[in-house]
Amino acid sequence: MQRARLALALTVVSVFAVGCGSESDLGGGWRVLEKPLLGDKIIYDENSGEPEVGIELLIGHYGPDVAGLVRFYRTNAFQFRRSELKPDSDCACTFMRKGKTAADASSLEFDLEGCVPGSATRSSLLVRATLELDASGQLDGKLTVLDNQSPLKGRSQKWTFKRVATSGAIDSSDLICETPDAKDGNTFNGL
Amino acid sequence: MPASSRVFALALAAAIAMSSLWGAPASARTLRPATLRTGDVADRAKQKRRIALLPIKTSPVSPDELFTAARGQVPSRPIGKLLSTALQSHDYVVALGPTDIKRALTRSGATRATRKVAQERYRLGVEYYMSMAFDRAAKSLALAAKLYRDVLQDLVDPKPLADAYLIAGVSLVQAGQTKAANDVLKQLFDVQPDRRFSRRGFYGPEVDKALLNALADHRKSARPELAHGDRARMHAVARSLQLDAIITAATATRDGRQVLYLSLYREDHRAFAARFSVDVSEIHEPGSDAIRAIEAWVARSVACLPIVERDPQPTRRKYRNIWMDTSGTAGAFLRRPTRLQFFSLGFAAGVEQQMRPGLSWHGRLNVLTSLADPYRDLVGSFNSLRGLLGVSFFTSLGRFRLFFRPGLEVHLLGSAVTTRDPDCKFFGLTHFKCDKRTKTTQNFEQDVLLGVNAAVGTQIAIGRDFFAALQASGTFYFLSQSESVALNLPVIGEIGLGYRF
Repeated sequence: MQRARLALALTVVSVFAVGCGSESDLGGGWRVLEKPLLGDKIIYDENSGEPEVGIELLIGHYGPDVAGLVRFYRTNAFQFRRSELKPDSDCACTFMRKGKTAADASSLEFDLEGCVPGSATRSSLLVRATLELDASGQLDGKLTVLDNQSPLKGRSQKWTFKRVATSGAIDSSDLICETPDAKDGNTFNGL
Repeated sequence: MPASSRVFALALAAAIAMSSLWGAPASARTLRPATLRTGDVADRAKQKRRIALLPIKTSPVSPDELFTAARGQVPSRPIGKLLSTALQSHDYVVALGPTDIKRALTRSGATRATRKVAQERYRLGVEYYMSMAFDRAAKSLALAAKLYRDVLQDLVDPKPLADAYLIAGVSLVQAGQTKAANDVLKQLFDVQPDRRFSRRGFYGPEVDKALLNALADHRKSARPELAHGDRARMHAVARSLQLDAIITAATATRDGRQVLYLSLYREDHRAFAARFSVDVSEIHEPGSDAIRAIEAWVARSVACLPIVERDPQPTRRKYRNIWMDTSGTAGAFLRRPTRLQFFSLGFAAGVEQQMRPGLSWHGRLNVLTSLADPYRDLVGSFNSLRGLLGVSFFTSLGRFRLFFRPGLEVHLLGSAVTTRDPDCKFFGLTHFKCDKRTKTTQNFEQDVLLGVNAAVGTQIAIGRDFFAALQASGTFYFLSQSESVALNLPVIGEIGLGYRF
């Protein structure tokens, strides 16, 4: 009788154990906390000369893979009043490419190949993002220009992102990042 | 039909079904053994009646001939042949003659062992007798006789049993126990009424006198209609040989004439049901009235014997042998399009109906819904329906009913898409960034898989007609509408409860 009970318990436990996979640690919405523009300037407000560009990462994390997009805002305080703000009118967003995470999901890496606010607003730039999850749950990392054709090649800029939304909170409307003439994600002249 | 009418009809059907279950009499819910019936029975259900014709007992020897070698007895072989022929001429009868009985009784290993012990006790008794230890001899021989009777030795060969009675009786005479000796020697003549002794005085004059007295008592009290014993004895014989009826025959002298006495014992009544006697001298005339009378008596006796129906209530037995169960299921596909394993949960309901001992057919429906795999290569969850049909081989071990079920499976897949492209997962399958090439993205939607399935499991009785069920099964799909053979080899465990109707 005890063996039967043990078998029943093991069956139930194993069913629940195999049924519950680990959730993504990096998926969701991330935004820059402030304007810590250290190092070289890649993304900045060309007119003011000051970095007043906000960055939002919308990440889908699937095991070793990462997909998503980067959205750009022209303000320093956009993270607190997002609903009142609109994305950058010249370079609203860029899709992530070749996104990968470490096995322990402690870091991720992806490329951006498209516009970035600043000197590359109206051109396509290949940028590599390398980010690590720190102890406080923030993503620290840098963007490095890889584009051989760009005078910015080799420049890198550090950023810190804070999670503002979980994976489930990302709505399909958040993922709109396309125009008929620029399917790589660049949005010229606003949405 | 309006919706309300349909609901009413369903409710009525359910009520009728429930009342048929709970309102059925107790007898309908328990298995009843095959019973004897006298009504019409379908030919295919008729079971042959086993009727034995025991060895014919001849008339007791007369006192004048007890110590002579002369033979003047009625030959029993023609009578036996006549009775055997009469029996075998009837349908649904298996007639067992003395040879068949002897073969059946000597075949059993237990019987042989008992007979061997009886022989040893007999030899020991004879040795005690030779050494003049008469009391011990009598006891040992009485035990030998009892063992011989237990194994129905008188139906195989009466001489060893008669010898045991003889030496036991002689020993008792020598021990001075005249009354006991008379009882034992009477049993000698019961077993072997035509027993003779080649010369007078072999055991001494006291023994000769005791033999004559015992023979006289036997002739006075013997009942030829109970030639092989009373109904208790007949019941023992019938049970040992699995008989439905027994015919005994014995000849006896009445008013100077030899008379044949026939008796029919019916096991279903556990009593003698018919008796008949006829003058032996009339039997040996072919076509005589006596022979026709014997044949008529046999025909009447057989006709009155009931037919044993193999399955007295076939519909109810079928109804009783239905097992239904519902269970929770958990499983995984050993071959899958996702990089890591995903699991599926669901529930199942099954029915099984016994066709013959150890064999049933079964059908099962199983609804499955998938859980996300760790990489979420399976886009969303997909639901599917499995239908199984096959046979079930089973055996019972106490409260456990073990089964093996081979069968066919049809698996109807719902929406099932797998992809390894993270853009498809994040932006959706219709997004322009989603790579829809077959290599990375597969669509199994509304596919149909056909395969062979095998399951093993057990049902554990947990109460009257209720049981718990455990089962593990696996399937190999060999046919698919499209590319879905990439989804194959499901292994599924089930645990549930059921009820036996």
